Amino acid sequence: MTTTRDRWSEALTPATLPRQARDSWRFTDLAPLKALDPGRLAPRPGVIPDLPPPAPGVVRLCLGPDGVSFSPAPADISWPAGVQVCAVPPDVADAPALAVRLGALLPGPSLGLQLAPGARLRLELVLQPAQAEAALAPRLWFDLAEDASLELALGLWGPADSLLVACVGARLAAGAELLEGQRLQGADSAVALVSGQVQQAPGSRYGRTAVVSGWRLARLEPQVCQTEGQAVTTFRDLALARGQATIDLHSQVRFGGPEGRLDQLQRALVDDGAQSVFNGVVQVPREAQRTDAAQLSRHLLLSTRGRVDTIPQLEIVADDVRCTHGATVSSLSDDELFYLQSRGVDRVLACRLLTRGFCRPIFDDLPPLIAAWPSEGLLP
Amino acid sequence: MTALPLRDPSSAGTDAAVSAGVDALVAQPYRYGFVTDIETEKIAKGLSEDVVRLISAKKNEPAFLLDFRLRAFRLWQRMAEPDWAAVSYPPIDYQDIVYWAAPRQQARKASLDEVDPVLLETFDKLGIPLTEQKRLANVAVDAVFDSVSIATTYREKLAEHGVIFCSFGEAVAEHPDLIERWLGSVVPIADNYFAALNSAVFSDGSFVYIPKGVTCPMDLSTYFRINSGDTGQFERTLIVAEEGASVTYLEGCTAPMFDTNQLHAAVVELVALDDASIRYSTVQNWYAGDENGKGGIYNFVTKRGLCKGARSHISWTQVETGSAITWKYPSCVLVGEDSVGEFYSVALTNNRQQADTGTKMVHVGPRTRSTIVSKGISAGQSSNSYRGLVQMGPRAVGARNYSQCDSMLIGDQAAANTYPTIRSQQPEATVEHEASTCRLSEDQLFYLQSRGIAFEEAVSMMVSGFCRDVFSQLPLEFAAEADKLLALKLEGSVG
Amino acid sequence: MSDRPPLLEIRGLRAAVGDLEILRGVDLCVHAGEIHAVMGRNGSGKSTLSKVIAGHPSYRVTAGQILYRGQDVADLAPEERARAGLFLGFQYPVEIPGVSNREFLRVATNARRLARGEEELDTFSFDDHLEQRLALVKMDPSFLDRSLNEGFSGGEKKRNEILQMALLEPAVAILDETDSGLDIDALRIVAEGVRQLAGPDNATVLITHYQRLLEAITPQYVHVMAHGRLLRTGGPELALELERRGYDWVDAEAGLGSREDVAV
Ligand SMILES: Nc1ncnc2c1ncn2[C@@H]1O[C@H](COP(=O)(O)OP(=O)(O)O)[C@@H](O)[C@H]1O
Ligand SMILES: [Mg+2]
Repeated sequence: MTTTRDRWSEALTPATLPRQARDSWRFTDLAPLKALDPGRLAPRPGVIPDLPPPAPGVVRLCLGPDGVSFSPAPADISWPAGVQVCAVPPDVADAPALAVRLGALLPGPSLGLQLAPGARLRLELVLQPAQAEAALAPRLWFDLAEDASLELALGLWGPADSLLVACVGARLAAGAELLEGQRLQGADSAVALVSGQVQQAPGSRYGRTAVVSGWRLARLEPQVCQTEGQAVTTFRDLALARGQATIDLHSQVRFGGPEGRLDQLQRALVDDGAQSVFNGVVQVPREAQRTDAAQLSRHLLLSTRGRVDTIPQLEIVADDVRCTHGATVSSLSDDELFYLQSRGVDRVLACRLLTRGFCRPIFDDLPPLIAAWPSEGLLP
Repeated sequence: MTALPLRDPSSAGTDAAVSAGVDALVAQPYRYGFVTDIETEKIAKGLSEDVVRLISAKKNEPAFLLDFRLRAFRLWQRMAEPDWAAVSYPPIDYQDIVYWAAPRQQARKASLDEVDPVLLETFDKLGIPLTEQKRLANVAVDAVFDSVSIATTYREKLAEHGVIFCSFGEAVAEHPDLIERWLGSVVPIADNYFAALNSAVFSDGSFVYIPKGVTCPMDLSTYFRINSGDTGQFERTLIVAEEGASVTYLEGCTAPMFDTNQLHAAVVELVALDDASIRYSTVQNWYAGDENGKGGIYNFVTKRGLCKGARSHISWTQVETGSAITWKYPSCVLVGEDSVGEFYSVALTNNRQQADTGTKMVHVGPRTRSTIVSKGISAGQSSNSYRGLVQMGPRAVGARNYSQCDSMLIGDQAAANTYPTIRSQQPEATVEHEASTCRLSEDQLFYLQSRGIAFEEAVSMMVSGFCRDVFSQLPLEFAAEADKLLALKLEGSVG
Repeated sequence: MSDRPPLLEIRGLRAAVGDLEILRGVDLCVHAGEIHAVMGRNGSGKSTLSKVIAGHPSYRVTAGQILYRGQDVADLAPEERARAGLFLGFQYPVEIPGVSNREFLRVATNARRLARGEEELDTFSFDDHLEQRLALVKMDPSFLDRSLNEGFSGGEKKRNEILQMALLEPAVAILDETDSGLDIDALRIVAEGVRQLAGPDNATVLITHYQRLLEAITPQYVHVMAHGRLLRTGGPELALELERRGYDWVDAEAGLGSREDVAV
């Protein structure tokens, strides 16, 4: 009989990954993940989060005492009209992300919700294990019918030596809107793998803003398919990579039809011996005429021990499209520093102001629910 | 040239009308597709250690070179063909290729007048006259026919300045010390699969040496001609510019039309010492295959420049219009402080051509600078990928890179991909990359036409406008040539 | 000339970028209560002079001294110079995305106040203080909550510079082409701001190459800069003469020949 440990090591062997999946790990070292001992990882009880009480009409679910369920139990909640708990469908991708493969080996919590046409929901999910060596593997699924709208604030914490494996899936019908704010905060020995699979019907809107801070290794793989185009996707990512962290964003957006829009901005601050990886694929096949996609990757590299690898990728087969991408890697600008200094601001503070200024655009775009969470300690 | 139907702007309303008008224009024959009928000496197909030894023996090479080849061959046997590029082709049978072919003529002639007139005529037809009376003023040419260099013009005049410009084979015989010192110093023998293959079997090519402080008195040029249908071409170019030296080098290529594919796996190495400058330009017009993708050259080339000295400067300019498949990344390794690397590229693909091309700028030394300007034009059902690497190493304090990659799409079946990789380990280095996509649209053409500009001219205006930043880097004679070449290659693909 | 020691004194100042010498020996003496104008063609070194005084790291001082209140500022960081009361109004104020204008103004104001031995202002009292100064430059308060200079028009940037000057209350203000690119109304506002801030204890150096600003603010001294040096000094009439006759005669007088000659 194969043990969990066997299946675990098998899941971690790159050789068993499809060629393309292996390639996508070219810049990212899996060692921190392999260093975790699966025998010691276990679900840990959730803490009561240190957050102001939820605003009226907002549903907040936290990690339960068993570490594998939500508290309160979704079945006990009086959900707004048109919102119904459902099962999380199994992942059917041919080449499942590593997060999906590992997630299958770990227990919940899991939550599936169906929103009927026109239904509205504001939801906070706060998953914060209380102890080290936690295994946390949330599986989330949201099925939004026509014109339904969901604002999701998703907070995921990784205590020391923990593993977070999260899979978020959603299907948006015409006119539906999903506004997702993610905050991922981990100890400098914790590992996070977060995969996202969102399908957008024409006329839907998906906005995703994520702030990632801490971790030894955090890998985010949000994937969006605009099945027939004509939808709007917005990505905002901020990585605060300090210490020995590797923060890796592999995003993929595919336009399955015409007139889709993508507005993507990735920013990463890299200090100490940290590394940031960005690989953003935008696929515009022949049927996706009049796509308008803009992707911008900006890195602020502050330390000589830090490292940045960025690969924005455009694949275009349609001619009437507007696709741009840009990438910059640099340190703080001397002219900006001088301007501030010439107004009496000392160098240390000037650096801090500029660094915060660099992060600001992403914070400004956080959806309201998650923006209201206290953010001390997140910013430099 | 086929006359382009001038279209009445008032009737140009529909896309269909435009397409029809354009399709009629296309089918532009490849001008250089003829075969020279000359008796050729070939060795049997196939590759083995014996073949490597045979090639070396035919060229009377010194021991160090045979050793170089054998090491490369042994490494190559253990290497795998790269598969990461966005190109696809059936597996190449390396035993089905002839690794040595040369026009049968007596030992190299002392004077051009003794060269087989058929060969001279071939180069005449290609627009590269070699004889004293007709040769190009101010450009010295090394003419390479299949595996060997058949003539080099202006050698004596160059020698007066201490400039060495000759075939690779002659350089091995006459300047073995220089070859031994620099060969493989920029592209190591096991750098990649095709470079290793080339290192094992390279036949001929050009060697340039510019001594200290000398500005080469004329542009140098090598013209590569593949003539045999089953012969691979594996030439080797080595250019060394000593301190304060400078040179402009041009490379041109053509091949006959065969319905089989020929492999061209060349290696070009450039070395620039302190304050030296090398400008290397290529107008590549190998046979690209027919509109169904049959035939054409596989152009799998490794080109790399080493800015070894402080303030040295290497500039690559390429206009890639031919080849069935292009796999080529002219690169700069910027070691010397304040050295400068540049890459200006126009890659045009039509029909079923595939190009995966770009550059690598590896910044090692402080304050090194690089600029990348890449213009990809994809038409027909072709695929055109920019693949690049900009790397800022830990010592590259104050280094800067600026890259701009633009794609122009013509028709909705062509693919344009951009895969730039940026790696930085130096906070005091700056990397900026921008990419955009545009199309050559009927609306724009119509606008121009309605102001009285002919259809053909409108296309060429827009395309050359798109490529201006690159063409302006080409030596004058080449720029006009490149402009015409693009217009020619694109005819009939708009609409 | 006053008997008091000068506020700002520049002696034989030479400065270079890399090997390129831009300032080739500048001498200037500014006392409290004075307004000076520095005029000169584009490229003559005016902005360089102002940036060197403010301590821009791109420029290397190769000779000479900058004395502020008798003290050599060579070892002072740009922020120390600012806190001590030297102010540079930039010709091209940079845009700094993400840094809020209001926050920046507060931090800068408080740094200067601390240096002067005054108390820091808390957010509320600063906002009051700010409101008064805002009126001076007739700036729309909505600009305060935007990023510093980001997306500001040329005129808005210049007004923001004057606002900063009003908040920092410098002893010596050097305004580098604060007038260029402004329409008449904006120019009046800027001039009014400068006039109001000028007093017996401070001094202003206006860098310009038009007479226009000088019609609104009359300088006591006009200096002409060319080829990295202050070639001539005169009264307000010199500005009028420059307006009338151009700059060639200055070159000629200095024995440099016209620009064309120099280029040969
Ligand atoms: N950072 C710099 N690097 C190189 N050259 C500079 C730099 N700053 C100024 N210069 C050169 O110095 C000269 C004077 O410039 P500047 O001081 O801006 O003149 P002005 O303000 O009078 O128009 C110009 O030729 C300018 O190009
Ligand atoms: Mg100026």
